[in-house]
Amino acid sequence: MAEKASPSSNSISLKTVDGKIFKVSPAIANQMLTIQPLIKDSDSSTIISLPDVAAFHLTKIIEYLEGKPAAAPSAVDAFEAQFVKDLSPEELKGLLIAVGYLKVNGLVDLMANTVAKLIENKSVEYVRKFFGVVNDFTPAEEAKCRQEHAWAFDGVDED
Amino acid sequence: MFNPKRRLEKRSKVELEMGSDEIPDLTKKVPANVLSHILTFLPLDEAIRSGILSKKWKDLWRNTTHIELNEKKLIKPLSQLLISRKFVPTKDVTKGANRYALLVYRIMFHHYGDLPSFRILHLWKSLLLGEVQSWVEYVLKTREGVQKLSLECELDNGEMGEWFLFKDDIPKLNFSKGIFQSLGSLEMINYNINCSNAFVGCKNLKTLKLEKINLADRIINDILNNCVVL
Repeated sequence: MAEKASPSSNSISLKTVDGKIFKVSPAIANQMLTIQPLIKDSDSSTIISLPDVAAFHLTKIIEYLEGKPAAAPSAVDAFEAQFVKDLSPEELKGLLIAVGYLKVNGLVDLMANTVAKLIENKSVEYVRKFFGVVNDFTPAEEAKCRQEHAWAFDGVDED
Repeated sequence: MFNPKRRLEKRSKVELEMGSDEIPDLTKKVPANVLSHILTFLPLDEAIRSGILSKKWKDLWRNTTHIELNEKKLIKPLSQLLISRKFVPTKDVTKGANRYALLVYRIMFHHYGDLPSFRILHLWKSLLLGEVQSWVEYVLKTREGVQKLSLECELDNGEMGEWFLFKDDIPKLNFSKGIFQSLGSLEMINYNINCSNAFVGCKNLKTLKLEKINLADRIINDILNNCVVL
């Protein structure tokens, strides 16, 4: 089953938005669900372009997929904690976009959880700023939304 | 060269050149299901509050794939009301209790889409009022495709401790016949249960976790007989 083909003929080339080309094994590439269908039709000359994914993010994604322990859940937890520990909020956001676009196995969950911790217990304005969300409600519409779920806003500090 | 989304690539290049001074709207680039996924890790009231971020966010929480009702994690005024409520059954249900029970139905009513995973973490007083049963029944009857159900009863401040399970005046957890049949995974923690009927037709239940449970031998036999793939 395991053919020992030379890595260059068997690997998949991925091009990031900042122009770097990465060669990854099919086993790694297949865990990025978005590009999975493209892998089947590709040969060694194919280069798959990844919008929304910068070289830094792809490096981290590959690091995750290659490094994640296969066995014990506790080992996975420790590995994941270490993986997100040194990421700045900016890096996290970029990675969230990249991971969300590529639909990377396991990483979507980890990124969502990590981002949730950053916005938990924060004000609406803080979260808007965090995500770069522009409030497109008119004051009347926003008031109506608050009214609809008034209980959830009851007694919440505005900052 | 294969390029699935040329237009997208152009746009992100422009933003890259703009630098990070101007924060681009992240949520335009993150798929809605990933944003909903983030919300599943937040307390429910906070997830619902995210609806006023912008029009796009308004309905995101309604599509989450997991809901956890956790009385203690709710905002303060409400959780305090719940903790302090009197527990004289049915006759003198306090205003707060009523408000919360109705709230749960409202929340479930506003949530649409599938709900594969549902968890209730409640104070033991909810057992006296029969709320846990009715919420579970409501959710399982109105939703198809609930895969995972988790129920946990919490004691406040070690009150009663381990004797809790053996107290006669605490109602046993009971559900209607066959209610669990769609489930693939069920977890129950800290209950006195009397509901073998609920397990009738559990053809898919692969995981059953019972922790701190008081039940008769007859009931555990019935459960095991019904759950063929366990």
